[in-house]
Amino acid sequence: MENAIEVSNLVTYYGERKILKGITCSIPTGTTTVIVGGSGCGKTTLLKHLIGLLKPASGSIHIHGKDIATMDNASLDEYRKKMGVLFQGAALLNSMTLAENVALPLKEHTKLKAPVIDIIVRMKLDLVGLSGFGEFYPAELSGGMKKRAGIARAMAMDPVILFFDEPSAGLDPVTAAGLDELILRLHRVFKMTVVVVTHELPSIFAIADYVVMLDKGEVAFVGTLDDFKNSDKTIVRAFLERRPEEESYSPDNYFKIIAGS
Amino acid sequence: MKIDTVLHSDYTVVSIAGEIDMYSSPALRDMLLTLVKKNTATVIVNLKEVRYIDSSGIATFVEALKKMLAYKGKLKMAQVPDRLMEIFNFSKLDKVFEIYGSIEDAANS
Amino acid sequence: MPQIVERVLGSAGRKALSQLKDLHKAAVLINEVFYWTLVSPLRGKPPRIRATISEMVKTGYDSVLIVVVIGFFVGAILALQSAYQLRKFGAMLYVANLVGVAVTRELGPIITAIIVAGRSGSAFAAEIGSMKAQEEVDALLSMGINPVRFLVVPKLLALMVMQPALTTFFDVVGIFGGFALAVTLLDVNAASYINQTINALQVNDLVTGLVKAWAFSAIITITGAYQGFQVNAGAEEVGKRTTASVVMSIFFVIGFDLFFTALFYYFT
Repeated sequence: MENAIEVSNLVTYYGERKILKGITCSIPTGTTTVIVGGSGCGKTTLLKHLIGLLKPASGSIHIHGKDIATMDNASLDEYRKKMGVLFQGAALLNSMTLAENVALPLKEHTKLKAPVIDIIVRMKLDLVGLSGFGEFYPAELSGGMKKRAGIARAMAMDPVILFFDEPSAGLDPVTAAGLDELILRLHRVFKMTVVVVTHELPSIFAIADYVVMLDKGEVAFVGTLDDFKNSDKTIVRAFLERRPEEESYSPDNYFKIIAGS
Repeated sequence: MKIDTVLHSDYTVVSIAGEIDMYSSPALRDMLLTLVKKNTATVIVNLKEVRYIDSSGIATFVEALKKMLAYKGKLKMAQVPDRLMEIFNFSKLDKVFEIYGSIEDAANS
Repeated sequence: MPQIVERVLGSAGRKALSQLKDLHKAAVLINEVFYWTLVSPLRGKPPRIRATISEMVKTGYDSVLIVVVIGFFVGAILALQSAYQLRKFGAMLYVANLVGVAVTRELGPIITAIIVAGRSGSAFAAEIGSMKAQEEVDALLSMGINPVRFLVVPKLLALMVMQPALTTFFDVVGIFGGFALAVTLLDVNAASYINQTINALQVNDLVTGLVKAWAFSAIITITGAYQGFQVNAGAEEVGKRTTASVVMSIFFVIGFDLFFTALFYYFT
């Protein structure tokens, strides 16, 4: 199987703190890959690297064979035209209607005429179940609808890779399931590579073909969903069975911590 | 993308080859709109050689069809490859466009 | 003792480094603003015209009333203050000179700049800051749209047109304010006041004022944008950065004003 994304030895810092400690993993073309892990494991940071918002301190990120870590801005923008991102809060531009939001990348990057763009916008809004909401502003919509609109905008340029940052965050279970369903359906029809960052177990079981698990900035598991479910690694079991991590320090250490020296 | 137009007595065949994407679809639109301006009664689009169509291509056909319906013209698709058919099915466009197996079928219907 | 020295030097060094980092960020922003305003249009990527026009309405048209009212007040105050001294010399007519020159050369550009910094500079910082906090700036980047080109350039172009325009309004109304006060309360003859003003004012005065206004527009836009882009998360930070943008704009405007005024003084 060909790989859409190949990350090797990715290291990154926030200030002094090492966030990603040499991530190496690959994401096969045309699959739905889920990046999982507990809060603070670096999964959102990894996502930001994959969409070119952050530059790694060292390591490479090859997407369809090209290293985006060393790319200049012009080539990076070319790559970005071929991918779509749904941010955690949908990140629609609040000063624009939904239709204008979806039309934005088309207006900025193509020479398509207004009537064609209008039709594309209606197609994309229909795709995510928001027909007739084109004239609404983001502030007038519920969280779930905003995310759907965010997907419509991410899909505007017919991307080959679609990224989702915590799609179910802040949604009730029913709406979240509806969103998972939509992700699956889009993936089935358009056959693009989908990368989802999440920690919601129901989401993972519903959509993943392939799982990359991070723990404290390192790769803890890579493999198919079935391998993930059957893995006997402690860290994977703990995640799947929702067991908290063992407290590992002794009373002596505890005293040192609270005494503060 | 390459476009060939052949005028027949009572229909016009537009044969497209290659990829219809965001960058090439404006040319297709110009072509279809000239036919629309001449109030061409029947346009048959031969999609046999099309490897890929994106949203802008579909939107271009939708716009042309909308303009043709205004004067009761007909936009027919012929020899749609399976991959394209899937996309048409998904976007419910198989119900919107008249789709035929061959140019003859399209011309004779 | 060495510990104290170490601590003092250490904190000074850290402060200097962080200042240097801020300076670097500002330099990067300024560089990008100039690239997207001046260079990229030559390469076939023109600025967003419609956004520029809507910014012109927001920053210019909507500020006209406040600029006019304050201009009138300042003109009148200036006439009164100068009359207070000039009366002693029986040189009341020179109120016209003072008002005319002070308003066009100095008070017009600077008070307009302070009004614009308070109204529009703060709005730029708040808008960009809240977009940054809600990942909208990241979203623009991820769509391959440069946020500086998309957000800052229209504001800069709009202010570069509107700031001199507002300053001109201020000048005209300010002079009228001085005139209105002089002919009513100070019993100066209207015709001679007008004559005196025309004689006192030189094209140079107007031009230096407008050049300043033009430079201030760039300072206010870039400061507002800079503060906005510094926001990382949270509504609280947006508020802080908005306030900081106004204080910083006014500081830079007055600083540059001193610089320009000195420059004009020696080179004209």
